[in-house]
Amino acid sequence: MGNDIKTGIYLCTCNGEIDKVIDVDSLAKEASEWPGIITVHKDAFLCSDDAIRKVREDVKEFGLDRILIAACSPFFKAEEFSGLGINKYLVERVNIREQCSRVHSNDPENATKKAKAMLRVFLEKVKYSHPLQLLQLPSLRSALVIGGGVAGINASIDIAGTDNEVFLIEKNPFLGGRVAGFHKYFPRMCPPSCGLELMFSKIKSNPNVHVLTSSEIDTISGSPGNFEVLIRTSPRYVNEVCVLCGKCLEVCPQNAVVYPEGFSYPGIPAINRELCAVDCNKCAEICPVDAIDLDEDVKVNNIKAGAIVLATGWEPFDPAPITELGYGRLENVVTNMEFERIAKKQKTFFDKPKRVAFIQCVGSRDERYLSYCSDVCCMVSIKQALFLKETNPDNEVYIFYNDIRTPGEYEELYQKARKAGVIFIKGIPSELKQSEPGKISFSVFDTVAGERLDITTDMVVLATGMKPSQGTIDLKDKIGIALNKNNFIESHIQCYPQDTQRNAVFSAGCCRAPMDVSRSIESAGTAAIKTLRFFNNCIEITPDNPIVNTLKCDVCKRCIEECPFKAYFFDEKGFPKSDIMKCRRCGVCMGGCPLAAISLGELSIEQLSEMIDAFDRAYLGEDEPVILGFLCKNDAYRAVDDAGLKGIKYPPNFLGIMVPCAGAVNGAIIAKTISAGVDGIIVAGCPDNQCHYVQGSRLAKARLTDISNKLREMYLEPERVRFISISRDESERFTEIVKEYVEELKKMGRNPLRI
Amino acid sequence: MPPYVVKDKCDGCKGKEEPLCEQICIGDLMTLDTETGKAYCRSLRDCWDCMSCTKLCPKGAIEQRIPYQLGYHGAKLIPMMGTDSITWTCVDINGKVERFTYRTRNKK
Repeated sequence: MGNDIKTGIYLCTCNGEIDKVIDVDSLAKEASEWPGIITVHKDAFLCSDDAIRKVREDVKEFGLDRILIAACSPFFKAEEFSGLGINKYLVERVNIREQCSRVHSNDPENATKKAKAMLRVFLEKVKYSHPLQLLQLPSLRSALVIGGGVAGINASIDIAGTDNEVFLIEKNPFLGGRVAGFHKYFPRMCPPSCGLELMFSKIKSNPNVHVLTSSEIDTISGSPGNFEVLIRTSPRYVNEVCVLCGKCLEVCPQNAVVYPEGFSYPGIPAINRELCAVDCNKCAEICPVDAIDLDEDVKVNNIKAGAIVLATGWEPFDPAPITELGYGRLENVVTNMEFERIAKKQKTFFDKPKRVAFIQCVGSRDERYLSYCSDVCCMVSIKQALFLKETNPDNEVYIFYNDIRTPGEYEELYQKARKAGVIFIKGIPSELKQSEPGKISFSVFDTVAGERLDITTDMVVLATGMKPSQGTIDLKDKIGIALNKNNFIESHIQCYPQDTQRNAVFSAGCCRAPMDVSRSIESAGTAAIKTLRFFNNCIEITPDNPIVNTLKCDVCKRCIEECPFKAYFFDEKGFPKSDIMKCRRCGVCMGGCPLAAISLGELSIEQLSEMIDAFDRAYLGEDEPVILGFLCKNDAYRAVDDAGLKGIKYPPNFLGIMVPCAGAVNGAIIAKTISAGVDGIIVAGCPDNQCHYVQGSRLAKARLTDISNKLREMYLEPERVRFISISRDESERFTEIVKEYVEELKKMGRNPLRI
Repeated sequence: MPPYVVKDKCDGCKGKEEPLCEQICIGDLMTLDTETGKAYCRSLRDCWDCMSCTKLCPKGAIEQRIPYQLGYHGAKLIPMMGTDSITWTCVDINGKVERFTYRTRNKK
C-alpha cells in the first residue's frame, strides 16, 4: 500500500468557526501538494446536503479510495459523513474544531501548525484503513431462562409474550423459588400464592414457554444468537397422568413424596429417591393410574437459544457461624425465613401473647460474613412485626437495629409499625442465652437512650441477609460470566445493570444483587427486553473485532487471559481468535499482545505505527515540547472535546488520538512513540471503577508503569509517559494537566531520542 | 553471562505453561518455575547472550548481564522494542550513555 491510493481531503470552515483561527486556505494549499491527494475542497458547511452531494460526486468523478474530513469532532454529524458513497471505514475525521480551533483561538499561528500536523497524522490513518462489510449471522428466536423463581418466571412470560420461544430451567421439582415459601410479601402484604398463581397460569396458557423442572445446565457452548445448551433433567418419577389422589403420600414410609401445594406448578408430585428405602415400591404399586415409574432415567436435552437470562436467585445466609447468637443451639432462635414458615403454617404458636425480638443485620454489613446490606431484611422484619401485631395486638415486638432502611414508599410501613406499637431500639444484642426452657434472654445497649436493657423473650428472629446462590457460582465457569467480590453477577451497575460481562447473557433478580420481589420483577422485565435484540432471525454485525496476525502470534495466550469478555477461543490451527459476537471491541487484547500481533478492524497496529511515523515532532518548532495523547473513546476523548465546546484554552503542544480504550494502547506503540522522539505521552482512560471494559484502565496503568521503569533504566525521564484517569466531565482538570505537563517537559528538555 | 529475571516484574506470562522467553530461547534455557510462577534461566553458563528474551519480555522483566569481553560491571545494554523500530541504550562502565534507533521489519 502506498501513494497510489487516491485520497480526497475535505476541509470545513464551519462558517467562520474554524477559519477565524486556522488558516484553512494555506492548509488546503499545502495539502494539495502531498502525494496521493487527488482533491482538496473547502466548504463553509461540510455537513450540508450540498457539500455531501459534492463529495459523493467527487468520489465518482475521481474514483476516490479514501476520504479525510477535517471538521468537528467525530461524535458530531457521524450520520451525515457515513453516507459518502464509499465504505464508511475508509472515511476518517480530523477533529480540527473541538481539539484545535476552539481551544487555541488565542494562538492562530500555532493552531494552524497543529491542524497541519493533525491532518498528516490522520491522513496516514485513513491510508492504511480497510473496508469492512456488514456480515449477516443467523440468530435463533428463543431464549434460555435459568432459574424458575419470581424473576425467571417473569422474564419468561415477558419474552414469550413477544412471540419468541422460552426454555425455563428450574433445579427444583417445582417453580416459584424462594417466594413460594413466604407467608406474605410487602408492601401490599399479598400472599405469594396470589401473584405466583397468576404467573403460573400465564406460563401454562402460553405455548411458547417450555418448562423443564428438576433440570440443571450441563454445558453451554456457541456464541450469542446461537447458544447450544445441554440440559440434564433428573427424573420426577411421576408423570402427567397423576390425578393427585394422594395415596402415594399416605403409603410412603420415608416421606419421600414431595407433594404440590395448592397452586404449585407443575401440579404433580415428585419423588425424592435419595430418601427412598431400598426395594420399596409401595407408591408405584398403590397408584391407581400407574403414574409412578421408579425406574425413570436422567434425560439429557439439547436446546438452542439466541440469548440467556440468568435468574439463579439467592440463598439465605446461615447464621450458625455467629456463635454468640446461638442459632441452631438455642431453642426459639429462628431466622426470618423460618419465621415465614411459622407464620404460614404454625399459627397456633401465637395463640397466647408472646414477646418477640428481631435482630437486624445478622451477618450483613459485617466484614467477617456479608460485607453488603441485603436490602430487604429491614422490610421483612417490619412486615413480620406487623403480622405479629395484627395476629394479636398484645404481642410485644422489639426490633434491634443498626439503621432502619426503608426507602421510598416503604417508609409508610415503618411508620405503621411504629404506630402499631412495635418498639425500635438502636443497638445490637451481644450474646443470647437460654434463661429458662423456651425463653431467651440477653442484654443490649440502647445507644439512643444511652442505657443498658436486659430483656427476656419468647422468641428471637434473626434478620439474616441474602447471599448469592450456589447455582450462580456453579454457572460462572460454564458461561464464563464474571462475579463481583461478593459472588453476585458483575455488571456496569449504573448504565447496564442487567447486562453481564458476556454478550447476550443477562441477569434478572437476586443473582445480581439483593433485591425485593418488586425490584426482581422489574429487573426481569429489563432483562427480557434486552434479549429481544438477539431475536431477529439474523444479526447484522461488522467484522471490526480484533484479528490476530498468525504470522506473528506466538500463542502466549495473554489475549485469552486478559480479554474482559472471554471472547477468545482457539481456531482449528491452534491460534487465538476472537468471537465476533462475544467481542465488544475494546482492544484490550491489542494493547496487551507482547508481539503487537493483534489489530482492531477500525484501528490497527499498522495504522498507529504509520501515524506515529507521520507525526511531525517539531510541528511547533525545534524547542517546543510535543505531547501525543491516546484518549479513550468513552471518557477521555469526550472530556477533551468538552474543553473545546466550553472553549477552555490549553497549549497547542498536545495532539490527541482516539483509541477505543486506554487498554488498547500497546507497549510497542508507546516505545515507538518515545523512540520517534515525542517528548511526552499521555494515555488517558476512565477512572478505575468506571472503565467501560472492566479492566482496560487498570491494565493500561500497569503497562505504562512497566514502560516508565524501562525508561528509568535507559537513563530517560520516566515521567515522559503518563497515565491519567479522566472522567467524562473533567475537561477543566484535563486542561490543567496538559498545561502543567508542558511546563514540566520544558524543564526536562527535549527527548534525547529526537533526531 | 546470563539473563537475570527481575522477580517483581515477571508475571510468568500470566502463569501459562510456556512463557514467551521460553518459546524464544534458542538454547531452550529459559523456563518457568512452577512454584513461584516466575521465569528463570536454568543453565546460566550455556547462554549465548543473544538477548532475544530480553527484547521479547512484555513486562521488561529480563536484564542482560553483559559478558566481560564487552563491558565490566556497570555497563548496560537495554533494548526497547517498538512496532517497527528498536532503540538500544548502551551504557559503558563510566556511565556514558549512547542510544541508537533502528528500523525493524516487524511492521503491521
